[in-house]
Formats: sequence, structure tokens, C-alpha cells
Amino acid sequence: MGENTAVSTLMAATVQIVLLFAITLLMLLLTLVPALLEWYAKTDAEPLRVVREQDTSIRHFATSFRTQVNTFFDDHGIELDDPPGSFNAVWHIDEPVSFLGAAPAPDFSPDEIKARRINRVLIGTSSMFLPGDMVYEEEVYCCGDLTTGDRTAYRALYAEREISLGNESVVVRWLHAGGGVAVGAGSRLFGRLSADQSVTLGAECEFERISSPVIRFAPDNVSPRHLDERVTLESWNPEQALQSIDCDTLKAPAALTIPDHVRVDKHVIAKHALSYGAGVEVAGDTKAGKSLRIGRGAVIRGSLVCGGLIEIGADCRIKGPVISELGIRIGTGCVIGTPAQPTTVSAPEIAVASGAQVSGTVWAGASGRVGT
Amino acid sequence: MSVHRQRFARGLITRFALVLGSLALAFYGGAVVFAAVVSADKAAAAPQASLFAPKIVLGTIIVILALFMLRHLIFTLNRLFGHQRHPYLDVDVADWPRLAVLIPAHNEEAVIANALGALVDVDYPADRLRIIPIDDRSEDRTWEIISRFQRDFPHLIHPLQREAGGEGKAAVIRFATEQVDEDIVILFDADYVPGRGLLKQLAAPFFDPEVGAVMGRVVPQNTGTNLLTRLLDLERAGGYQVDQQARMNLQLVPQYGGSVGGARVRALQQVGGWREDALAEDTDLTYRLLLHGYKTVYENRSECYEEVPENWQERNRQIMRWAKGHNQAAFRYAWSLMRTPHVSLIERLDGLLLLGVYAVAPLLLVGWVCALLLYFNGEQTLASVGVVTFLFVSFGAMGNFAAFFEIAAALHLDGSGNRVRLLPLNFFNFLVSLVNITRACFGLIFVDYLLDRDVRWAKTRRYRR
Repeated sequence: MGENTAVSTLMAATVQIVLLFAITLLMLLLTLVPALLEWYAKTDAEPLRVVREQDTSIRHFATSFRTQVNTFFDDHGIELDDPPGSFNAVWHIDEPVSFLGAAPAPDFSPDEIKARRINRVLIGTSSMFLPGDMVYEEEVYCCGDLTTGDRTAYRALYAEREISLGNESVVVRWLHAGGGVAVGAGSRLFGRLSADQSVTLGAECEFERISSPVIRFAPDNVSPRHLDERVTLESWNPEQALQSIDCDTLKAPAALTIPDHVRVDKHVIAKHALSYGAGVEVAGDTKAGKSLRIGRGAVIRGSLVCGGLIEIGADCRIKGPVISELGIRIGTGCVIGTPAQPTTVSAPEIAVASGAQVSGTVWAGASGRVGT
Repeated sequence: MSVHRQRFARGLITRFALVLGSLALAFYGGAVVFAAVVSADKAAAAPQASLFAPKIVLGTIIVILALFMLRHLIFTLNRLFGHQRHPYLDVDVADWPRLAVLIPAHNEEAVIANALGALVDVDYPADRLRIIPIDDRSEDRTWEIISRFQRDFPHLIHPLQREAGGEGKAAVIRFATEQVDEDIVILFDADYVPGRGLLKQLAAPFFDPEVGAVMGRVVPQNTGTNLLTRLLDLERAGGYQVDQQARMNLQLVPQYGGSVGGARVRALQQVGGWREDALAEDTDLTYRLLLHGYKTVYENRSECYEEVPENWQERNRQIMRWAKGHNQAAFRYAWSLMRTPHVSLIERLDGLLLLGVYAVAPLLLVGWVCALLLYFNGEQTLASVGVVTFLFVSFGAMGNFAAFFEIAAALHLDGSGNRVRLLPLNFFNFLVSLVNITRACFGLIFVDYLLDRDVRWAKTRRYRR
């Protein structure tokens, strides 16, 4: 009896130990069940998608839309030299389209005029006028010049030649013109605006991203300025203790001020604030950690990069990109980039004074406006 | 400006994390003091074998790991809620600098055509671009493929053939860099397939004269091959999407990674070029640039595919090489980093922690040994407190390149789906790495340095067929 009891006690102990390990293992495995199922089923095992053809071009949406218009012309046998009369059709994904032919203006129904809202794509083969005080909820395409009335909102506009937007217009997504674009005063341009020849923004316009060989900001408000004939400037020899990270670069461990009318032949880096005096000429690139102020009439042949605000005085000439992590204020009469050598102005907030001109791209991440 | 206000609000979250982290650190510090006091009391009351040393070692390790955990926590919160810095990304037109793209290739017949095919299709101005594949004594069809591309694109492809000289990527890059007269060199591994706009994205930061190097994001292409590749995919996501970008956001020390990146030739010459004796030439260069006043920029949206190891032997070799190379850089630059006038205090601290990232693994093992020693020598209460704290902080610090919560945050930011479920299995990957990194650390100290043995570079195997 005693032996049996001992054996059964031993067995019970063994079973308990085995159970303890089994239950512990089971508990551990339970926590791993989702992982093990995913390992087995491979429901999310594809490589992270890297878009090789990623097109950051400002014209991306305009180009896609233009391709769709071409497809529409092909599908309906439309010859631009001899277009048919107007008709209504259905765009892909069931959007209504009105083909206007060579009509100079769309024909709106009484309901549309009453609601002041057009919710169909408009496609015209000649120059076109869009009446004002309306909302165009879908894209508009025009083979010739496109002129619009005041106080009107658009989703997107594409014209093969010129576009002239009335005052206080709103473009929600994008706008592209094969020629020039003139935007009326007080307009708001969200998204992308591009033109193959030039863009002229009226006073008090707001914008996000603009690209064109020539971008003029409210040129009518300011009479053209002519820079004084440049004189030979003396090379600047710094008296302050500067670290020199190489023979081409000057680095200031704190703030740095460069006096008026001197020439700096190197790259300049300042850890904190950096100020260029009036008429300074800088051959290299510039970096300021906190803020960067450029005096009137300065000539910068390199780039301007700053962690804080960049303030560019009147009548400056800048060749390289202007990049700020906070904001850029461009003074009146400034010229940034040239049509032959366009460049980029990029910051969360950009304010451009009347009479300034940029060649290339102006990209305001949060808001851009004409006027300081 | 409204941007000011947004950044202030975001900054509040980071500050909250800092306060939280500081409190956590104070708690761990308290544990160390507690351990020391208890140890001193007991040693005075009963003069048995003193456990003072393991307690202090354990406490110190806890504090170090807590620092790493705090760092990872701040990085993660910054990526989830903080202001994201991509200052150079919007540069799309400019007078672009002259670029030389270097592609070291040793027996790369399986992959080199894809890389070259992608590179000749990029949108960088052709008159500013020179693509230089460097055939380093290949024994397969690598040179034949390169020559075919040279015939088809003679204006772009300017290959080099290397018949002699030292082994290793740094030696090959050094050889090629000496022969370029461009402003910038961009480096790709032969298995990388760059997108059309990638070169512009990598070149744009060099408009900033303070930038010495730039690094893009590497994305595993062979993710679905097996469990290892899937785990490495998680690790890479955390390392790049959260860790590197957070360091960029906080203006700390993003790390140049050797590929999908580039360097300013003028800066390279200033710091002495590529070091052939560096096992991790990327880490080595990051610190040499930093010590000379140049910054490294990370571009999270400049993505490029790579292959990750598909078997554990290859993975172990790779991580041991990284660990040795990284620790080699730590020995070389930690002291200089503490003394240089070029970097801010916060950069200095982050730079030191980054240098110490491969010391975490051996520290963890030593910590575990100390905890066990205390437990089995009658210090159950102290050991339990210590072990729990230790496990808590080590969980936050573990992961060689990314803590696990960093990986989870990265997958969220990437919009990934169910792959986050694999995260618990990464613990096993971590254990394997722990052992290998420790082997590498001890090997570097006790074998390579004491026996004055040369550290050897090992090429990572390609799997594409």
C-alpha cells in the first residue's frame, strides 16, 4: 500500500510538473499565435512599395488630364482642325462631359445659372470665355486662350495658350497653360500652377506652388527699378574669429554680420543669425542656422539656406536655390534665378513684395502671398 | 507666422516625452542608489562575500539602457507627433551640381544590369552626370554587362576596372573617388534600383554648404522570401523610418549608411577620404565629417530597394561586420567627439549614444549575468526589483537598430498591414543578434586588437536570379 501511495504521489508530481511546463508553453505560444499565423499565411509580405516612376513634376496632374483629353478626342473621332458641334458625353468614372466644339463660351442651363454651379467637365477646341461668379466643380480644357470672369472658383484649368483669370478667382487643384498665365488680384491658388512661358500674379494673391520660366509678382504696382552700375567691391577680410572648415568655407560659431559693399569669395556658414549688408556680393553658398537677412541690392551667386526666416532686401539678385525651414520674405525688385538658369524658392511660408521676379519654382508648403 | 505656433504645439509633445523620460530615468537612477545602499548596509552587517560589484554593475547597465530607451522613446514620439524636417525635398529646378555615381561591383552579374538600367533612366541633367561602375576583379559576367551598357550609353557610363589593391568596398570607393573631378559622389550598391527622381533628391541637400553627406532610405526587396527577410524588413523600417528621420528632425546625428547616399568631394578630401581599414566605412565617415564641422542629412523619401540576407549565416556575418566596424569607430572617435568645438551638446550626446549602440548587446548579457548572480546569492528581492527594471529598460532598448516600439511606429507610418503581427518573433532575431554582436565585440577587443590582427571585410551575398 505504502509503495503504491509513493508511486502515485510521484506520478502526480510528475504530471503536475509536466502540466506546469505544458501550460506555460501554451501560454507563451498563445501570445505568438497572431505572429505564427502571419508567418504561415503571408498576408502582408510584399516589399514596401517604392514608386520608381514617382513624378514630382508640377505638371503631373495637368499631363495626366491632357492624356485623358486626347483619349476623349480619339474615342469620339474629334479632329481639332474641323471639330464637330457641341455634345454631351460621359467621361471615365461616369463624370459628365460637355464638348463645346469651337463655341467661344459654354451654354449653361437655367438650373446651372440659378445654382451658379457647373458640375461637368468642359472641353473646347478654340479660345473660350468662362463667365464669373460661378463654381466650376470639374476640369476645364481649352485649345486656345482661356479668359475668365471675376469671383469664380475652379477645380482645375488647362489651356494650350494663355490663361487670364479674373480678380478673386480660386483654383482648388491645379492650373496649366502652354503660354502665359495672368492671375487677377486677390486670387487664391491652391495646389499647382504651371505655365510654359510666364506667370503674372496680381496684388494680394495667395499661392502654394508655382513653376514657370518667369514668375512676376504684382508687377503693375511697382515701376521697374534699375540697379546701380556695379562697382568693383573690396574682398572682405573677417576680423572676427571664424572657424574655417576648409579653404573655401568660412564658418562662424555664433552670429555673423558682413558689412555693406564687400565681396565674399567663399561659402559662408553661421551657426546663428547671419546678416549681409547692402550691396554685398557673395560668390559661394550661404547657410544660417537661425535667421538670414540680406541687405538691399546684394548679389548672391550661390544658394541661401536657413533654419529660420530669410529676409531678402529690395533689388537683390540671387542665382541659387533659396531654402528656409520657416519662411522667406522677398523684397520688391528682387530677381531670383534667370529663365536660362531657373531655381527653386522653398519654405513653409513665403511672402513676395510687388515687383519681384522668380524664374523656376516657388513652393510655399503652408502659404504664399503677394505683398508683405 | 502660423508655422511657429504649429511647431510650438508639436514641441510640447516632445517636451512632455522628455519630462516623462526624465522621470523614468530618475526612477532607474533611484534603483541604482537603492542597490548600492542595500549592498553597503548588508556588507557592514554580515561580512560574507560582498555582492557590491555586481549590484553597481547592474545598476549602471540599467541607467545606460534607460538612456537608450529614453532616446528611442523620444525618437518615436517625434516621428509620430513632432515637426518633420524635409528641407531640401522641394528643390526641383536648380543649377544642379556635377555628380559622379559610383557602383562598386564584385561578381554582380545577377544584379548590375538592373542598377545600370535604372540609372541611365534618371531625370538628372545628363551633362551633369557620370555613372561609374567599378568592376573589382569580378570572375563572372559583370564586366561584360558593364561594357554593354558603356557601348549603349557612352555619354553616361564611364566604367573603371580594378585589378589590384586592397579588398573591401572602402578600398574600391577610394580608388574611384581619386579619379573623379565632380562636386559630389553618390554611392549605390550593385543591387540597388534607384527611382527616376532619386539623384535630384540626393543632390539637393548639397546646396547647403554645411552638408557633407546625404543618406536615403533603404527598403528590402526580398521581404517575402522567408521569416528572416521579413524580420529584417521590420528592423530596417524602424531604423530608417523612425530612428534616422527622428535624428534628422531633432538636428542630431543622422548616419551616413554607405549606399543610397553620397558625399561632397571637397569634404571627403578635407577629412582624409575613405578609410580602407574601416569595416564600417559609413559610420567612420559620418563621424569624421561631424568632427570637421560637416552635417549628414537623411532623406526619408529618397527610397531605394536592396536585398537583405536570406539565411542566418549570411545575416550573422553581416551583423558581426557591422558591430566590429561600429565599435572600431567608437574607439576612434568617441574621445574626439567629446572635445570637438564643431558640434552642439545635444549632437555630442546623440553621437556618443549612436557610437555605443553596438555595445548594448554585451551590456545586456553582462546585466543578465549580474541579475542571476544576485538572485542565486540570496538577493532575491533586490534581484527581482533589478531584473524587472532591467527587463523593462532592456525591452525598450533592445533591437540593434530600432527598439520594438520604433518598429511598430514605423509600420504605422508606412501604412503597413498585418506585418506588425510578426513583431514578437523579432525577439528571436534579437537574441541571435545579441550573441553575434557580443562575439564581434569581444573578438574586436580580445582578438583583433590584442593580437594586432587585421579586420577583414566580407561582401554580402546577392540572391536575385
